[in-house]
Amino acid sequence: VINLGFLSLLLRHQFVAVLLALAAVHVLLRAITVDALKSSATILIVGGASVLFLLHKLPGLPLPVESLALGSILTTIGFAYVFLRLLDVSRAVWEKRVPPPAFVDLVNYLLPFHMLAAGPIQAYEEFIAQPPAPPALTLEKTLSAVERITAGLFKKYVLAYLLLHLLSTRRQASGWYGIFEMNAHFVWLYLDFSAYSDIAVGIGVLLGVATPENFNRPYLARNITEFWERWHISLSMYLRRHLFLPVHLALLRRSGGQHRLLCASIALLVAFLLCGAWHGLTVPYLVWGLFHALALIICNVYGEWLRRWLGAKGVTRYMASPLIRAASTVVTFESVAFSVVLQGRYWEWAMGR
Amino acid sequence: MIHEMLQLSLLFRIVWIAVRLLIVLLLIQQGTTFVYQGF
Repeated sequence: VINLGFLSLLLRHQFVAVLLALAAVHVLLRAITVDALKSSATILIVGGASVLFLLHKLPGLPLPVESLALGSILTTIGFAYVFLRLLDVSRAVWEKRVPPPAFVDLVNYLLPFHMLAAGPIQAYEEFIAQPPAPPALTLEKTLSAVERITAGLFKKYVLAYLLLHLLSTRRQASGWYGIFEMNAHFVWLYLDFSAYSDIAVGIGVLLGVATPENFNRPYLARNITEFWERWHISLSMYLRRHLFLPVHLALLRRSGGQHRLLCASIALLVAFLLCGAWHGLTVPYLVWGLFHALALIICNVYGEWLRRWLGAKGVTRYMASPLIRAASTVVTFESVAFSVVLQGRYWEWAMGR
Repeated sequence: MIHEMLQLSLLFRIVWIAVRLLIVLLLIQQGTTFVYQGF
């Protein structure tokens, strides 16, 4: 009820279109369980969602779209996230891991009001496994949740805001200040983005709705693989589930278990190029995806090389060295900060808002 | 003793929440607007 009420307030008369789309998805997900209709229903869901995603993400398409206000609806509901959730639930139903969702569950899974803006992306199986009655709220839990929401608001409206407005030159600076600004931009991105998650998790606790954590002190990551286990965690897990693992396993099967590193590298390339495309169907985002894929591949190759060169005990000693940890943490931080610059004009855009 | 300390820490937490929310409100009034990222 809360989710539908929130959407109706947000979308007004356009809400009817969303409701109809949800009803269609509900019917199609049921059709997936019928053998005769399985393929066509899946094609309709995945194809339809993909077309909407392209309309949402491709700039400057010719437009009956604008006249239908489709663009504004898709932006309002954060369609990029809805798209991923829809694919997740469709795959789960297709593989018969779960029964097709009831309409209420579908609405609550696809359009949770507190996770609309910037995720996290929950797996449908995890969502449906929640107990029907949420655990009772204690004073401590309530206070912690309010603290979490406050921390999110403070990060976004005070810390990120001040950082942006005090330090940004809209990348006009060069030299040392240019490098400093690159780092400040990355810090700003964390403050702004993780704030959404703090607010979502806090609201989730108050409502008794499980909301996955999306960040785990990402600046402490000592390599890029670990970084993706700490940053936008729900997206990383999604990519692992739906892209990396299936591609990796298919390649391993084809190669008869040979060339593990090569198979993993190709799977990473596929996963992160598509991850870049999901962020934005533009060249800078694809370059960003490519950069991360290459960084992850280099990280894997380096790890393999270390194991061969130092042996198991040597690697343990290497990992335990505080100097190595500090150096690799700095290198990871700087690499990701540089990759954010590759994304294009986000910082400047944020300044303009 | 412990009970008093717990109450003090509770009070501190509530005051700290209020202070932060107040600063947020002040800055929003100064023109920080909520702009949806639109992913």
